[in-house]
Amino acid sequence: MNPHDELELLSSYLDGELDASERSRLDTHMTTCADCRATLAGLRATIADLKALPEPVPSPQDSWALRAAIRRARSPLRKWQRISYAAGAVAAAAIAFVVMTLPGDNGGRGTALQAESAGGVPVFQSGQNLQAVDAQARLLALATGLPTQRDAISAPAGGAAPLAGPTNEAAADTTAKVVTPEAESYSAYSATTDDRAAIERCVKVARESTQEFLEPLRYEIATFESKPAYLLYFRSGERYELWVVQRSDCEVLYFSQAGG
Amino acid sequence: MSDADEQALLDRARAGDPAAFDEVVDLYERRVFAVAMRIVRNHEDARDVTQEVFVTALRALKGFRGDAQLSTWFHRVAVNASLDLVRKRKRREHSSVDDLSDQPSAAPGPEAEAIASVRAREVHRALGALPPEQRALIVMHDLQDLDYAECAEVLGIPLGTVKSRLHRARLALARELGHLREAEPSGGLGPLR
Repeated sequence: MNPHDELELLSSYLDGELDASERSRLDTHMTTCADCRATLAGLRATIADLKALPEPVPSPQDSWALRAAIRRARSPLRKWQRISYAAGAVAAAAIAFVVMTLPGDNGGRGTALQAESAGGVPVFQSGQNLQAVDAQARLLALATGLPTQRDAISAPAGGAAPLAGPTNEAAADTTAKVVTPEAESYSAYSATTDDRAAIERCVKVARESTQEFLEPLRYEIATFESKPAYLLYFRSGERYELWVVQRSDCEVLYFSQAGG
Repeated sequence: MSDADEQALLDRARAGDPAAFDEVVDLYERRVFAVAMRIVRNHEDARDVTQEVFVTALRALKGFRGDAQLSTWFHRVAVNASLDLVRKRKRREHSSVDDLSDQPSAAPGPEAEAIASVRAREVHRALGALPPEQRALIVMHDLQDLDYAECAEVLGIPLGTVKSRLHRARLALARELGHLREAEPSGGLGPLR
């Protein structure tokens, strides 16, 4: 037989995709064919090289951008938008003045805010340890045009009430305390050059991970789930987005969107 | 995850349970991204392809037939989206879009670190020199461990084409990587090129 008729079969041989008779025919052939043996060895080494290739892994920003794209595709907020503006604003106001405190949280007084700018965008500071529900409330307040610097502050224990509406899921294992705006206090804040540079870096990361144009609205220096974080508020068309990123490496800790 | 578990997950996702779809995303994100990255060879494009695949999945969920494996389905959509993008890019005549081919990536991501070894870099470059359709088959069979029948289904080509295309692609890689001499003395390798 012509030895090179067998060459097409060598890959199938290596992949275990030959039947028994083809396989034994090729085995016999290779005892006498140096070319086929050399090709087989070369293919084997090539496959080993391929198998040793490290798998490309998506970055945390990729993962968040993917989940953001899925949320947009689901567009749960279109439903929310259908509710009348007033009803939406009332709901957002109710949420905005609710503070979540995890068991064991000291419920420390929040200090906020007014602001220096990073690239012309106001920077605020909050002394609170924020949870997802707080971030969600801030974004909704911003999206509905409520005074966003009115950060909620936890009331004395005892005001616990179950949450209703969009925050239900996040509130499942926390205790909610409803507070009034009068309990707030504010202090001026000047962002340091370091903070401004770090914020700009994280804004760049956020922008690079999405195809849409993100217009920065305001930034906030805070603690999120006990981690030092920046809250970056953007507008993208009709939609508002909040990215909570870790201060050290811009890793996204939380993402939410509203409106649009 | 067993086929039965996957089926149950899919049923929940189809019934509109967002948490179930999120689980599907968790399960397949890495695989889809890896396939896209290997074929389009550019981080930004791979991210776009991955998003496109899952948004398509979200919309196609209701029509998803139970007779196709979810993994086969994801591979098919990922490969098609990746090849589409490569073809579009070719038409736009973008030339130097490889993130990792010749130099260390400007933005050190996890994949740039992972591919730091000299050999891995050579293999990556050799893969980049293959025609996209051959590269897609190598990715499916040798990197994603699909068998011939699954490759045929994913790529929509006959089994015979899988065999010959895979063999041709591997021979080209073997030569590129120095595992085969350029031409065997007998000259008998001619028809396989």
